[in-house]
Amino acid sequence: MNIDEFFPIESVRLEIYQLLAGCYSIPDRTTLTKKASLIAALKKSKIQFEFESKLTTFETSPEDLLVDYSRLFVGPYKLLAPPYGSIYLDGQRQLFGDSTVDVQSRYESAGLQFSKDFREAPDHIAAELEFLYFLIFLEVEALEKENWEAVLESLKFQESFLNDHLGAWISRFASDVEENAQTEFYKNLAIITSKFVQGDLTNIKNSSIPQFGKFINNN
Amino acid sequence: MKNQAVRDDVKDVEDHSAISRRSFLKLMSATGGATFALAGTPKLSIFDFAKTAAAKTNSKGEWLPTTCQGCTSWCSKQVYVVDGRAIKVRGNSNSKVNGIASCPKAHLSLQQVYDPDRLKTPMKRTNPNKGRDEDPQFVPITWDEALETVADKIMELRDNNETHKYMLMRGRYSYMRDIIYDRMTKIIGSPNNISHSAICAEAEKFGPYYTEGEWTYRQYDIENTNYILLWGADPLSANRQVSYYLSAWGDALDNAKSAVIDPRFSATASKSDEWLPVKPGEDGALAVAMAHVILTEGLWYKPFVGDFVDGENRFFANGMVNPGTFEEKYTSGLVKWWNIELRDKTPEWAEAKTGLSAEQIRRVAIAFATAAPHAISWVGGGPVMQPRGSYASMAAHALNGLVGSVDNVGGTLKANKEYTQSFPGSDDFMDDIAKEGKSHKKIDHRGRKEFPTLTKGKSGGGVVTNNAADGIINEDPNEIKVAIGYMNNFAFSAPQSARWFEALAKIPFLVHITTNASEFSWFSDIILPSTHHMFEKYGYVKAHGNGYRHVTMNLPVIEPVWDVYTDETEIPYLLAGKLAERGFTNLLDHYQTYVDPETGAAPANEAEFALYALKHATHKLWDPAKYQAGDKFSGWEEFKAAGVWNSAPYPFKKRWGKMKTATGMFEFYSETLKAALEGHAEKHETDVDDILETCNYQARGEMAFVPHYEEPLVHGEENEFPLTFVDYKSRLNREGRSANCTWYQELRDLDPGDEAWDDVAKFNPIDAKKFGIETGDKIKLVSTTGTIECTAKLWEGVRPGTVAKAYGQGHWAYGRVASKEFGKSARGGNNNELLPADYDRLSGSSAFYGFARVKVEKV
Repeated sequence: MNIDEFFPIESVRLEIYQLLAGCYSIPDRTTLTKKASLIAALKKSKIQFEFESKLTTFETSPEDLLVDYSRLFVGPYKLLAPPYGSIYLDGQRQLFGDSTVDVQSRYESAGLQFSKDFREAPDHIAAELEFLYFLIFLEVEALEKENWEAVLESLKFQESFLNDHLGAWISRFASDVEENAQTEFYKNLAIITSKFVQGDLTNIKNSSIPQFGKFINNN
Repeated sequence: MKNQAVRDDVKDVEDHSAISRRSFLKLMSATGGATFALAGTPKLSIFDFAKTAAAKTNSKGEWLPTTCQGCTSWCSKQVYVVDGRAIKVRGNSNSKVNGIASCPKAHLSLQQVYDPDRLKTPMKRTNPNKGRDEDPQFVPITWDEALETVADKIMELRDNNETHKYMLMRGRYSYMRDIIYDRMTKIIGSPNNISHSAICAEAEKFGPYYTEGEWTYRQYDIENTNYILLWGADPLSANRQVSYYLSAWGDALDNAKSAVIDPRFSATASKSDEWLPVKPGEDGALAVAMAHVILTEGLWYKPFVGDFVDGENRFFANGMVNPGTFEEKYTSGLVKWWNIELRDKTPEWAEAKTGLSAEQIRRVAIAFATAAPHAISWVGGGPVMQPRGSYASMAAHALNGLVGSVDNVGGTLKANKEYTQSFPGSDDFMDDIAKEGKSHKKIDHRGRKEFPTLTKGKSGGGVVTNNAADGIINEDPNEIKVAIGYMNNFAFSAPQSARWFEALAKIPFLVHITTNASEFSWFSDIILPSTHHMFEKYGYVKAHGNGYRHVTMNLPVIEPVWDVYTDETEIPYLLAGKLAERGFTNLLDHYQTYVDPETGAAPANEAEFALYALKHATHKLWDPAKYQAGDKFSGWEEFKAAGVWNSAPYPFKKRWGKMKTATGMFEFYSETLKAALEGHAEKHETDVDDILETCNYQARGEMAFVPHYEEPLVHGEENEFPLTFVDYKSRLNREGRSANCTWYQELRDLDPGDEAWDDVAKFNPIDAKKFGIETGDKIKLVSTTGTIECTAKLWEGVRPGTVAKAYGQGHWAYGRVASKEFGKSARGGNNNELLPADYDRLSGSSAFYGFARVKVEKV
């Protein structure tokens, strides 16, 4: 593998996860910009898939976006698309299941804790996306330092996290959003997230890790 | 098995994370660990770098004390917490009331606290239109924005000298309640703090108060009794001390016979020796007939009641007795009661009223009285939460007087003494605006001629919760402009709920403090998320049973799951801060007087305030220097670790001859009630007969002052509405707050006759045949005031002529699981949409039982 090509690919992943995480926080003025940047980044990504690239958000007022965000991800009544892993992984439509404890322990093992302002469950989609951003950040750092073993270790950690957590529930979550969103913005965002995350997991598993392993052996 | 599975799961997780942690730490060290932050910093908004090694919670788990308020048992509990997560629930062995005993509904609390539909953040309404069909379109806001908006609205009232247009509605509570319910309302300046009590069971307290002077729920010494006679009470499912009774009932029945009076075959009936499926509303007839039998058979307990001077029984059916021939000991008015009411109330007379055979009435009355004085007449809500229910409450409770079981071993007991103390007074913090505002009349019309609400002997002494809706709708005595409700859902829990839809929609600014957005929230402008009482809150409650009283604390055993504050303490404190910023400092100044009893320090923030308030209220329980009686602790920490204080054991027979009645005796002729009724009549410049007529009672003259039979007051004519509706409470209800738990739905068949994931109206097969109904039919029940849809079921456990359905289902806005199709159709029907708003006006209680006729239609 060519390490010079690998670096920009991972930098794009880094950017995409950061933007995705941002898109799942409470919408504000910057949300539209984030989505625009996300679409631009996706075009540079190794993970290519078809998606509606036009920015339908301009037809949506910030108020509508907020109402839709609340209905889908906050509630308070039906919570149309629960953005929590445990809903999909632990059964009983309950939060703070065993999978949540596992997510929490992975954050802790990476030396992270939640900021004081984050008053959400540990397996909230935005947290899992930001966690992946953080893992990729460490990976890119390691790439810069040519610490190949650390790069491989991070990739494996990412694979395991995507496999056990976000990647395991993202498609069901995305279907919930697709079915219930009133705005094209969130419908579109969920499809993009699901396709990207699943493509990314396959790519790490089938391509990045084996190739990087080989690269280490050859060096 | 299940516990083992949980432990194994926990172990798997630990093993897994241990491996991950090792490999990741290796990576971290390889990249230079935390020092990489110098080279380039990741832009994190959700995470921070852990400052210290993760403050490791206990992976092995520990049992932490708290209190369950899923029903009014108020059991002391322990919660098993692993890694900061609540896993299991059990009874707190430190409690002498419930001990290690638990009940099915306690476990549902785990699904409540981790319910994904919980209210997670303050939200505001964006749809300005309010109504049953108007989705509020709530969006998240910050606590600052929420509380500042509320503070602005209150300041507007104060600036306009109309603070009486502020209202506080209280549902379930802990005893921290007065901080928000009493002190805050007074200091803002309103008379309108309206509690839920009258949709609870105030009529249950009426009988004991006007016979033995105790306005309280009773405890029953079942382990030492020989007979348990239950009136509509189902203590193995609902009512009070369910955990304790579930655990002790088996042993009790080794010594005692039991009989259950209930038109429905309840869980407790299924364990009893006799089931008396009385016609709804006719309990009073049964009670006076039993009293008649006890007297004519000469079975009254003479050491308590006394006897004829010459020992010869002169109680014969229809005969009058000369009062001079009987010498009472610890009771008053027995012969008057006989002459005014009992003499012609034979079992044969009662047979025609109650639908029970005279033979069964006589048999049960004799068996009950033969067990004297260790015989319990246990009055539940069923026979008394009815129009005219006050007198049935007196009649059924008076049987305890006849058999001398009042205050006696194996009998019916009051609450033991406890030593909590009230919060600092608010008088010094009420300014002229507040004083003027508070002087207005209340929105629920208590004390008016048609609502005597004679709580503790005082005209207007109680609340008429459900009538507040009419007060709001009719702006009588004034409009309500700003209202706050907490831990309540009157739009679901009060009869003829549609009136509340209208009333709440009419209030221009409505705030709801709640764990779950509900039907009440639907009409609100701002909704504020509250801590869950069992896992996240500081508070305390008092409860009695098993011959003890405990004071058990609500304690935060986990970190709050969401961005929540506590309803009764933290939220009023934070609001007081916002009011102070607006120049009105009185409320905050008042709250600053709640100092830490250990250090004398005033609270610096809302969290300290909640803690200091609790330490203050319980001070005499944990401070050895203030010790009174019962459990003794070395200090706050020891008390907190135990979670509960127990009283001294029950002092039997100490009240004989010293009751808090007008005569000091147990009153069969209630001089106490006479004074109360005359006081109310005098206030309205009329006589007692006029009051009784106005309030829909049948008694006139002396009859008003003795326990007596009143015909049921029924809504709906039999020819149009052929069935009497029998409401009861599911054993899993958690007071209407658990329907969004999947365990609630899966386990609904734990109630006899009920079905999982459904809401079934139960018909006797005789009636079903008559109406062409089969099990599984989708039906409508129609009353004079409402219609609900549910499923039909044929079941022999209901009396012919009645249809029984549990209260609990029928939420149309309580989360995804609770409703069938959220916002559109409920899962089943809410009984309260069927029941008309009517009252037992002497106690102010809403009627729930035996008074509503319905017809059935297939859908």
